Amino acid sequence: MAVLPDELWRRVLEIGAIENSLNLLTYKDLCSLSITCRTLKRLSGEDFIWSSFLLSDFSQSRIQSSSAKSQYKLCFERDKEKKALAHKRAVLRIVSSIAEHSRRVSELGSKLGKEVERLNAAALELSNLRNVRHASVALNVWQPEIVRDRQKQIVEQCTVNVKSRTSALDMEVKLCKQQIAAFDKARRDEKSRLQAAKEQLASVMYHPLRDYNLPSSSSCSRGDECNSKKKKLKTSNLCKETLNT
Amino acid sequence: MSSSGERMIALKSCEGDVVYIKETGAVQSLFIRREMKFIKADPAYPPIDLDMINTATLNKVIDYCNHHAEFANDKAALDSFDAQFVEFDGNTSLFQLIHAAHYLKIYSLMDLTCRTLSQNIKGKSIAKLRRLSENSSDNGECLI
Repeated sequence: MAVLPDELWRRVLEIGAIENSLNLLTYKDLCSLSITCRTLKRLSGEDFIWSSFLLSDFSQSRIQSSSAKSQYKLCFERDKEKKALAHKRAVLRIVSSIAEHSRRVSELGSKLGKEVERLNAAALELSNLRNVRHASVALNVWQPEIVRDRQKQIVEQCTVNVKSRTSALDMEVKLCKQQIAAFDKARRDEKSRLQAAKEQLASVMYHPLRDYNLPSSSSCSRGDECNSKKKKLKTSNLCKETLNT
Repeated sequence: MSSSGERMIALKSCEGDVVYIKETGAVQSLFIRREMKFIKADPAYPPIDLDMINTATLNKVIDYCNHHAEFANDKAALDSFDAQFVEFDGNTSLFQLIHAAHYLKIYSLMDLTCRTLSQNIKGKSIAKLRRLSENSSDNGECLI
């Protein structure tokens, strides 16, 4: 299939992979070449290119296993695993931060609820005291008997010093309102942080190739492509050979 | 006995056509340069037989050599010529050109064509299968 003699192909590959600084061939291109025909598979697996790849991509100059290509494959797999682990760690970190933010949001929410209850209780008591005050003031004026009795009842039922209690309650209401505002702001901040963490997680987890699961997909990794294409190539080679003979 | 004007060297392609190349262009090829001694000595020297190369490719090679001889010092002009020179449809003529450059030992043309081929290779897979398999059913008379 490859009509050039070996030495010319070697020259092409050498120029492409080693000397051409603008548009270097990569391991992917060499793997694709090795799928095309037997000659190119032999030529593209030769040590001289793969050792230069080893040097440039993984800065390893010694060949420990049987061929430079298998050494490259080893380094590549190791690198891939490292990257996968780092990715997992990053994802876990973000997930835990999301959990932390959610917990804080709910905590602030409950605190906010309690403050609101306190505020409502204080407001209720305040309005009761106001009624008492009105009643005690009204007693100084002439009123119908029924009304007077009722007002006397209200004043007698109240056991606390109206004035001081009112001022204390006023203070409490003010404090509650301040606390509520503070909690609300903190909760909003925490919610925005939670949202940011969720978005970060979504972007870190986004991987269009991995999600694309159709069996006929051609965008799966080159490694898988090699296996499925080898089968196709073997059958087509057989056909060509039978045609030529 | 070289004449004062431009001396033309005769080359014969595998199809039998005789084409001429200027001497200044011809010396770019180490293969022809070796033959030059004999050519200079004998004015009736027969055309150099290049049975590996067909006429179209030979014409292209001559074009390249002449151009490079003319603009030997002007790098920009050479670069633009080179860029245009290697635009082909499909790879068959590129392969023939590589063969020719290799046989005639024109190293600059070889580098250029090999670089073009490697750039064509880059980034393709299924298309590559198809393109490279086109070549097997090519006119195989002039190629090994």
